[in-house]
Amino acid sequence: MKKLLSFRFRGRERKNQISVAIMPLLIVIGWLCISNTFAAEPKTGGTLTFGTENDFAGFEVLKSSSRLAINGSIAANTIMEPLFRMDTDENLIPVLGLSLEQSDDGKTWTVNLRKNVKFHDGTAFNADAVVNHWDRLLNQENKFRGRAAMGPIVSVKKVDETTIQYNLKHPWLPFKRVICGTRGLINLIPSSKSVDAGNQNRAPIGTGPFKLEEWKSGDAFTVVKNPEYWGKGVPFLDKIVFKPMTDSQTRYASLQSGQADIIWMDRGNLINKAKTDSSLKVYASEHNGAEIFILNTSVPPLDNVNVRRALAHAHNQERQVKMVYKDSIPVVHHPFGNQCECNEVGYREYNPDEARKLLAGYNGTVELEVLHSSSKRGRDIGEITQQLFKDVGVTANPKGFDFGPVIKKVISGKYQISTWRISSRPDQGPALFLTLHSKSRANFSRYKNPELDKLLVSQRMETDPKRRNEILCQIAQLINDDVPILYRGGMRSHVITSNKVEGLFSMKDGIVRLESVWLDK
Amino acid sequence: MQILGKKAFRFVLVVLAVSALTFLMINLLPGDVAYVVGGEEATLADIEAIRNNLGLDQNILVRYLSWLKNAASGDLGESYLTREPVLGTIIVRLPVTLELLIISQCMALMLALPLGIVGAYRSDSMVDRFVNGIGFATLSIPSFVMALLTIYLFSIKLRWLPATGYVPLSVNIGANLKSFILPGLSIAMIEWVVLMRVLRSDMITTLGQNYILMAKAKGLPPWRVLLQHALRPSSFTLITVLGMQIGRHLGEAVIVETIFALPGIGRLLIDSIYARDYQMVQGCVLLITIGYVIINSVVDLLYTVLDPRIRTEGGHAG
Repeated sequence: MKKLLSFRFRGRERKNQISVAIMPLLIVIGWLCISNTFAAEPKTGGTLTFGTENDFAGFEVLKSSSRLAINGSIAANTIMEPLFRMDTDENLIPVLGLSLEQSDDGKTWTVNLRKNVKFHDGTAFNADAVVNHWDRLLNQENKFRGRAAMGPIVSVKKVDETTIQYNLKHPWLPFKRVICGTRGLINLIPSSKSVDAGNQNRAPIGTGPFKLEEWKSGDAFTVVKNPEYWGKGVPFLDKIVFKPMTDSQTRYASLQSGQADIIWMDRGNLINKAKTDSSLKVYASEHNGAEIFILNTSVPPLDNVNVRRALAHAHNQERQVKMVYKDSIPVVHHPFGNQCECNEVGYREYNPDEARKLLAGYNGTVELEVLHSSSKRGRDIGEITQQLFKDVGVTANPKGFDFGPVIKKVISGKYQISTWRISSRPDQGPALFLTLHSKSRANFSRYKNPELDKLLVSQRMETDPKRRNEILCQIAQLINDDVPILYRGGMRSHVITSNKVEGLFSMKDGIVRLESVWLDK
Repeated sequence: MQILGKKAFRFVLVVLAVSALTFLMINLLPGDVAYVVGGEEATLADIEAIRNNLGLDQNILVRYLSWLKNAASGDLGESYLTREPVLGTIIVRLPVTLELLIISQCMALMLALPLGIVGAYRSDSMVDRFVNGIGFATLSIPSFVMALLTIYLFSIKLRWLPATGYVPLSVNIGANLKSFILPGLSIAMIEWVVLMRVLRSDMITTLGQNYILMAKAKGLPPWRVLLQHALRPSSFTLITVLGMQIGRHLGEAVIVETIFALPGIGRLLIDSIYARDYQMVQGCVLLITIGYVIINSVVDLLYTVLDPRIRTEGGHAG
């Protein structure tokens, strides 16, 4: 084959002759390959070892939801299930819910639930289980920290044994997206019995395709096939072992040497390396949210909008993405990912001359403390930023801290610039409201703009998708104009598998669904 | 009896001092566990609620005394992060670190003993110089580099040994030992050199003693002279260093357990420090302190076993 293809380089005429000659052969080979792929029947059995970034925080929504990272969410989704999921085209996929209907006034959503489903502890899945779960989330006394993301959901009521109703304060366009989110634990329905007994955090019980066999803290989180799973024909695997492997090099080496079959990965150099390795497969999923620098707009010199604009022009997102993330995440101009399409949002491109011009109008020197994590990635970010700012005459002093101290400084407002993140959400509307509305207690940039406040309220109330999209784009425009944040890159999650892992069809918002996965032994 | 009493008193004093110092130091670190529990979207009110819930709003002295009181009755509290009992978590993790410690020290001794003896017997020979050269070369390699090198060679290239995949001893002895070879080797390759040099140096001195000359004059074969007559009196410094290395081992265990994904105390400690999980850090440090004091007491006892003169002097002193 190699010899045949090499003919292509000996002249146009010869190439055409050869192309014609080998075309039928290529068609036959292609057909054989395709038919072979379609003919490949999933094989049942086997144990999949999943190398995760860290151990899981726990699976009780009130205790752990805010700390359950992507890896934990992937594990949670093997055990517990939501009412609905969404595919990448935002089509509703029924899971524990069968249908979703909106009332005429748009304030009530009725869900018909799947019948004859049981939790792993033998209790029945029904309206009570869903209502109990949501009551806990919505009960003010429980102080659930993800409450803001649930927007105007006021209550969830039981209609009958297999029907529930979500009651909203006002019609809310992102509702469908929000109840389909599979990150965190909000939408995953636990067994009420397990929750009431206080066991759910360390021994989660759900209705999912796998059930927990054993959790050895720091060592392995093992789930086994649920033989009574309601889904037909799935799962294919007998067992999944989630193994925390903190060091990314080790995780990658484990995959190469066969101790792991699939790993979660966020190191650009290793992702790029895997792409060139024919024995490995790389899967990626983009989602909304962004890696950012948060600017404290309440302290000098960042209370001056022109200084912030100058920093936006001095900052070079492309270089950060290339050097820190090795192009494994996208460059973004707004935090909405694929959620909405905006043509032009006034993103301030890298332009040192423009930065110098803006700084010339500022009386005084600009000296800033840049907080970042103490990891290698954090230090790289600090050093690149220092260099970029120096080029326009701004003195940046990078300071590395652990996760906790950075959060403390930002929350208490004792910072100037810090690395931060706009987390990925089913819908960014509520998260942005939380992050940027002047009256929000989580507005850590201390940015106040009545016009933005108005837009943030409008996007919440707007029921026309097209109009809401426009509002979100206007918000993005305003952010780029006033610069309370600087983008360091978008969100893209990666998993790498060995060639024997098949059936990995669904990866949305970084969550890999493992019930369809099988091993080609 | 009096000696044991003194040792027990010193033991309590050391544990108290170390636990108080650790408590103070971890509380002086910037940031606290409430911010880690709260995450990036918590508000100051949330943080206050978490601090209140965890009892972090109390005075540091009150918290320390309360911890000490509970610890004295065997209750080391709950992890702030996972809400698991600290003692239970440590007990689960302890065998991993202990096994790593034993295997790595055995490997180090397996290299150090023969090479140290040969080095002393043939000092300044080609073999001695070669072993010393190799020794200093491996000593200059940090343990994390050694760990990555062993993974690359034995796991990725040769595919002989697993890079990760800890298997408990109770599940499969063979697989368990296999999962410890590379981590053990990563530590042993650095520690054997010090042991070998110490043994070599002491043995060179011993081999110059009159009773060794006498043994040789009696026509004893070299292996009997070396192993039966020279090794024991040359082992004092070796045992002291071994005892100290075991204490230092934890520093390397932090790195090696992280790289090889071993669920031991070292990894637990470092994760807890990053998360400011004070309760867990206190528990781990308490255990390490107790272990360190016990190991050094055992080393003291070993002196008396190796050298009857110390036993006699000790008896007189007592």
